[in-house]
Amino acid sequence: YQRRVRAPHKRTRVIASQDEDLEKHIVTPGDVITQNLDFMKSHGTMLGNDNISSTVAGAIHKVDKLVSVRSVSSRYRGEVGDIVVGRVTEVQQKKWKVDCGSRLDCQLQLSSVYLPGNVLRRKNLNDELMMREYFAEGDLICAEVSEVGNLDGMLKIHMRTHEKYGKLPEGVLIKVPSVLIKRSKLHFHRLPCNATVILGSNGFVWVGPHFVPDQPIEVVSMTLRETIARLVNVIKALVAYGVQLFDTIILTGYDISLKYKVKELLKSEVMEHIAQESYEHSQHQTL
Amino acid sequence: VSTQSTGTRLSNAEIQYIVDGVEQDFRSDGRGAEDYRQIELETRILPNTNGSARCKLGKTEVLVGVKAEVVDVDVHAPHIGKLVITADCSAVASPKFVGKGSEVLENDLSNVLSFLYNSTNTIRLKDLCIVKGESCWQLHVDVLFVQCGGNLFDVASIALKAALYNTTLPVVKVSGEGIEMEMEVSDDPYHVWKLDVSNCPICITLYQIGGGFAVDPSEEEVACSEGFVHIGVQPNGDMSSMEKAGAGNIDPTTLLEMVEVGVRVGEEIHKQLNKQLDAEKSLAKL
Repeated sequence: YQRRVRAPHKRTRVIASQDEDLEKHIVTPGDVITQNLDFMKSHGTMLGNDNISSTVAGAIHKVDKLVSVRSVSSRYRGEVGDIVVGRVTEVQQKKWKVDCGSRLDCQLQLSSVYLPGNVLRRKNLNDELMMREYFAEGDLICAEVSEVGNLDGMLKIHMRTHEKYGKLPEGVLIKVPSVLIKRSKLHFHRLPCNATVILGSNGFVWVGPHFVPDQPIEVVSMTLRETIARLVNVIKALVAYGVQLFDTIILTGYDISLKYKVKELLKSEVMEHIAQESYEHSQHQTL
Repeated sequence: VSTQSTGTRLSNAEIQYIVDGVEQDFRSDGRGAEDYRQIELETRILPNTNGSARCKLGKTEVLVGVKAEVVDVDVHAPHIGKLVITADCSAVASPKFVGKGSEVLENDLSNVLSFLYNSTNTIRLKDLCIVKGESCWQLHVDVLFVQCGGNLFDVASIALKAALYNTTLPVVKVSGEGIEMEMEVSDDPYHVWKLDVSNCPICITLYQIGGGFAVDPSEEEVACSEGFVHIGVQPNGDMSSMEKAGAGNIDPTTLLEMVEVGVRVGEEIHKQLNKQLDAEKSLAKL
């Protein structure tokens, strides 16, 4: 018997921001940050009337003489080397257009893609005509950012090696604010519970079975389906309370969630509990 | 692809995963095909209405307000009152609702919700009659969507029933006959009466996904669905209306199964809805 209709859940504040800053002052666009014009202005600030004011809503970061405002939710702004998960939107001549949640669609050149069979060779006319066989509109892919356009910020992505970049098979895509993906060395995680989690720096998170690109995977078993659903719900719980995502905190959340049934993880109180405990656990580990 | 879908294109692999999940009664978030997500309900939140409710399910949020006025009866139905249901999609809910963008969806919603209350045994419109042949109450039910995240019809119908549940109408004293007839609408805020909503239906929408079907789908599941069916279910398990919508055909056997499941789920939701409404009433002084 599940309680479905209930009164609204009283939401608590976001648990905490993960950065240790000198000043945790929150500003909105137009707010004055400081009257002292000595500071160097970085992202999110502008020169107002005899003061430095904010252009975005977020927290002030001061490092010595450099002041910036980091906004809470903004479009993904790509850097070279980021791993992203994207959805193919268009197939054009010699390139694909991929939606990565940034201001412009990313570009994936035909020349920077491995062909099936782990082959990287010069693409001929035949390959160009067969582009849709590799990636069609709607497909999910995992790639790496190779270039960021100077003028417009358009990202160029490529698939550097064959083992993890490529088309993603059966699984679940979750869209998460990109600011909640912690930058780390590894974004492609093969978890011990038989599932793979790809934390795209652009906020697109993919959860699914272990796979090697272009090789067929076996039918997803019920146990694996449960694992994937559990991971998805844990990630959504962490995100709902503003906790940054990285592999250990997801695994911690997964372990904490094991005492609930998978569909119970959708309840507000359970989500709050998981997010709070995972965050506290991760804080203890870093100390 | 219905007007409700946001047009997200999914990969074949994702569609396969979702369809397999629905067919095995274990969806991407662990729910079964008959499980609704959490429904949040608040009533009596709009002070300038006779009854109101706010309902939230997933990302969808709906406000319903009921306003009553005394009008002349309809010539063809002089012994009953009137119930007018209109839906409005606020531009706040989505940029595509700016201007005339929401007209088609609003018409759909108004029609389906009105059709839900079409049968005479859902709500006793006779109770709304003040003077037979002369005056009656007309209830204007306004359904406002503040956020749209799918499954609009179900959420609206639940909020509608909740709003009608706490709708209070002032007592009208009728004296005299013919030309000397006088109607006195009571000023006393506690001299009111409430409608009998014990038979009011709610809408359960079932979406056909692959070889199976599910209630309360996520946006991705809607993108994989073909047709869908709105079923008006009353608390005693009767079906007040049924409407098939969306592109795609539904097998007759599947349709019968869907009706069975819809009625079962509907009865359960009614039980919980009534429990929540009673709990809220016990908190209020009135």
